This record gives sequence, C-alpha cells and structure tokens, in this order.
Amino acid sequence: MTSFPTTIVEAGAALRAGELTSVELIRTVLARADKIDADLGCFLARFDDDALSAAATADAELAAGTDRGPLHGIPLGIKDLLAAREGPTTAHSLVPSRVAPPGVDADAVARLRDRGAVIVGKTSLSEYALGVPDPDAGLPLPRNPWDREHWPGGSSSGTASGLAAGLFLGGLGTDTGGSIRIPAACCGVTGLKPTYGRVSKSRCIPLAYSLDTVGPMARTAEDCAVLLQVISGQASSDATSADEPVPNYIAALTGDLSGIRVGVERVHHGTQVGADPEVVARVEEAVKDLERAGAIVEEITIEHRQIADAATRVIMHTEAFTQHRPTLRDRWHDYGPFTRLLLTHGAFLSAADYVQAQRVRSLVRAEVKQLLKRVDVIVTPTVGVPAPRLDADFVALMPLFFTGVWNLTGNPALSLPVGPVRGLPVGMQIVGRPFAEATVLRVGDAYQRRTDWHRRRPEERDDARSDAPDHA
Amino acid sequence: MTGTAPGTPVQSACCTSDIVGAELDAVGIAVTPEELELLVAACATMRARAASLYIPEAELFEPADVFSARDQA
Repeated sequence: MTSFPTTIVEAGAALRAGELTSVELIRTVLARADKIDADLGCFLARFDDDALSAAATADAELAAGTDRGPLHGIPLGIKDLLAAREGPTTAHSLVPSRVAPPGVDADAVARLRDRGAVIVGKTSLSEYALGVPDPDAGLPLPRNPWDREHWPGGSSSGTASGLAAGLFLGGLGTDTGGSIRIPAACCGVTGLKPTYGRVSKSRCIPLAYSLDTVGPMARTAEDCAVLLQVISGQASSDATSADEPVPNYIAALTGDLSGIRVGVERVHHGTQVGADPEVVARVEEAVKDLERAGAIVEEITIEHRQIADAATRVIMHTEAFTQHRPTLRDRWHDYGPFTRLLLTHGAFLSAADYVQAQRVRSLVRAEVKQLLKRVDVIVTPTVGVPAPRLDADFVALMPLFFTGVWNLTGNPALSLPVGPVRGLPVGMQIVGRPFAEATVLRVGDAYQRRTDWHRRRPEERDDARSDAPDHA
Repeated sequence: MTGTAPGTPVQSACCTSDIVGAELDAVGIAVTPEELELLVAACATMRARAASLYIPEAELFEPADVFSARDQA
C-alpha cells in the first residue's frame, strides 16, 4: 500500500495482506503521540509496553492463521471513564471512584480485547464527564487538533482528538447528553451514541444512570459498525443492558438509500434558535447528498423539543448529584471549581421535579415514536456552532448542543462530519428508532461513500505521516 | 452541562443566599461566598427549569422509570 492506513478497515486489509504488522502500526501511533500529545492533551495514560506486547501477539496469531476479526491488531483509545486492566480509571479527576477498580476491564473493553484490539491508552475527558474546559483544575487541558485554541468537544474529548490526530484508529466514548457526538462534531470524526441498553455500562463510572451510554468513535460510520458489532449485547453485570438481538451492522452498509425516509427538523435546530448560518448550510448540503443517494426527504417538527431539554437536565443533574453527594461533601476542593458547582446544581431539585421530568420523558418518547413511524431517521446539526474557543462562554452556548434530547428518549444517534466552517469541522446528527443502529449507520455510510469530509485531517496528521514505517 | 435557555423565566424568591446556604449546610457542603453567589443563580435557573416541566400534556403520562416487578420473579 502507498499510504499509511487511516481507518480500521484499511488497516485490517493491510495487516492481512502482509503490508503492515500490528507492531509497526502501534509504533507509528505511539511515535505520533510522542510528537504532538504534550499540547494536545489526548492521553491521560499510555500503555506502550502492554500495547506493543499485545501487538506482537496479534501478529503472531495472524501468522499462525488465527484471525480474531476486523479489530485484530488495531490500536484503540479508551475514554478514562471506562475501566481497563492496565491501570486506574481516573474520570480525569483528583477524586477517585470505586466503580471502576484497577486491574479489571469494563465489559465493552473486555469485548474489544477479546477480539484482538490493542488498547494504547486512556483518553482525556471533562471531569467526571461533566462540564467544560477547566484550566484551573490542575489536570491536562484537552485541545482541538484543528486549532489548539479551540475546544475539542466533550466530554469524550481525548478519544475524538486522538482519532483526528491519528493517535489510534478507533475508540470508546460515553454519552449522557452528547458526550460522544459533540466531540465527534468538533474534531471531524464519527461517533455513535447507541440505543440505551445496547452496550453494557458495566465498570463505566456513571454520570446519570438513566441517560448514560457507551459507544464507538472512529473515522467512519463503517468503522463504528465494526466496533459496535463487538461491544453490543446483553451483559449479566449490567441490569440496564437489553436482551435484544445484535444484527449484522456491517452487512447493513449497502451504500443505497433508496426508499429511506429522512425527516429534517429545522424548527428547533436552525438560525432562529441561534445556530450559525454556515453550520446550517453545511447540514442542508448534506441532506441534498442523502437525497441524491436515494433518500426521500421531508420536514418534521418535534413539538416538545424545548421542554425535552429541560427534562434532560433535571434528570441528569439529579442523578449526578446522587452519585457525587458524598464526595462533594468530603472532597469539595479536589474537584475542579467548575465541576463541583455543576454537580451541586442537583441539590436544588426536588423528588417531585425528578418524577415530573420522567413523565415529560414519556411524553417526548411518545411523540418521537410517532415521528419515527413517518420517517426512518431524523436529521439535525449536531452542534449549532463550530468548536468554540477554549475561553468561550459555554453556558451561553449550551442550548446549541442539539444532542441531549436523544439521551432522554434513548434513541441511537450518529454524528459525522459534513464539512468545515471557518476551518473547523462541523457535524450532522442522524437519529433512528430504538435498536435501529443498522439504519443509522447505513445512512451515515452512504453519505461518507459520496463525500470525503471524514478523510480530511488536521495539519499535524499530515506531518505525522512522515513518521510511518516504510511498508509500501 | 447547564445553562439558561433563551427565554427561560428565572424564579429567585426561593433561592436567596440564606436558603441556598441552608440547603448546602444540610448536605454538608461548605462553599466560599463567591461559590455561594454562583449557586444562588444556579438554583434559580434549575428551579425555573423544573417548574417549566409541569405542563398539562404530561398529566396523562406515567414516569419513564416506573417500577416493574417482573425482574423480581
């Protein structure tokens, strides 16, 4: 092959063709990290020795005819909210959690490892998956590889920035109100929040129990399908994981959207609510691409969209405060200043408020269920603006994160890049019926077969290519 | 992540510094005067947000987390 692989599927083909070894692949991504991660803030921990050892094993297995599947020998980054056996799980905080003890894998991580994936490190996040950049927290500050003065999105910041910068080819994030999709949009990568219950949350530190999901992040929808195939399925260790069959996600990627009905929600996701006109324009262009691929496009309206945001936040803050109340009392000053204030917001909500938010949740789910009888997927911008500067007023921008409603309803939602605005990537969100990840990925893959936004890289990536071993 | 959505009414009568301070005392959280000021504002925002949830359309719906006895069998 003439260039270094940039996707899981490409790397898998190169490994099997003998053009590349897993050890070469891991050495290359680690060398990139050596070069750029000091100011990117992607990794909280790297497992160089363990990763090279796992890669050597993967190479030996392939040479002996043992192939564990598409993730065999592939470097992955894991959000440091999920346990991995190589080290502690920090949640990017000085306050320890007992949920993810050292020496064990989260269920999703164990499934990846069992299929031959190589875990190269744990990635940065917003502290305890909440909040915004906090330069006063005394911890690494994740930055956007497209422009270091801009936010990479959160909370799965490091998994997104590392993918964009080529520090691994796939990874895991978690998503409670947009924490996979927002960084995917800000960094120009692809990320899927699966249906609630699709992927086990076992040994993942919770933020809000009834909203949290674990999901794949990668360069492409196809790679997300590869990852989802492995991590999906019921786990006895997670009572919220669903007893639903796992379809063949990769086989669903036909490239054809004939007959697929796409509902575009403009009323609550356009310039009238403050979205950047150029972001809206990029998404409208992408909708036209879907139409050219065979989709039937119509406009829809989610009547209860605004109150859905309120319900999401009441539920999230109540559940998060429940989780953190003892440590807020005992270790207030060990939390970042912004994080501890955000976590305390739940103290001002009553039990009645929480129950009422759950009633509104039922109302919104019923409305969305009816809409998704008319259309197969719903499309919106992921975030109404390109990645903000690190010193932006994030509180003012939060209404433009168009993601939380899908945690409230539990539907799967994919974010994928649809072009730059002022030099920064922006994303489109594709939402499907519960457990219809195959349809969501099919739509995203069909779009990416016709565009190349997902292949655009920040400048550092191109520089790093010169570090790749000569395997042509 | 929080924030006040455009147009969200702010109810502050039940979120004075005395009330918020007492609520924080009750759960054992000690904050600085600057933090208390920020939390008083947050309290007003959160309670306004919660108040907006009590709409007639929701009256016919049960909470999404209703208890199921099936798992106990």
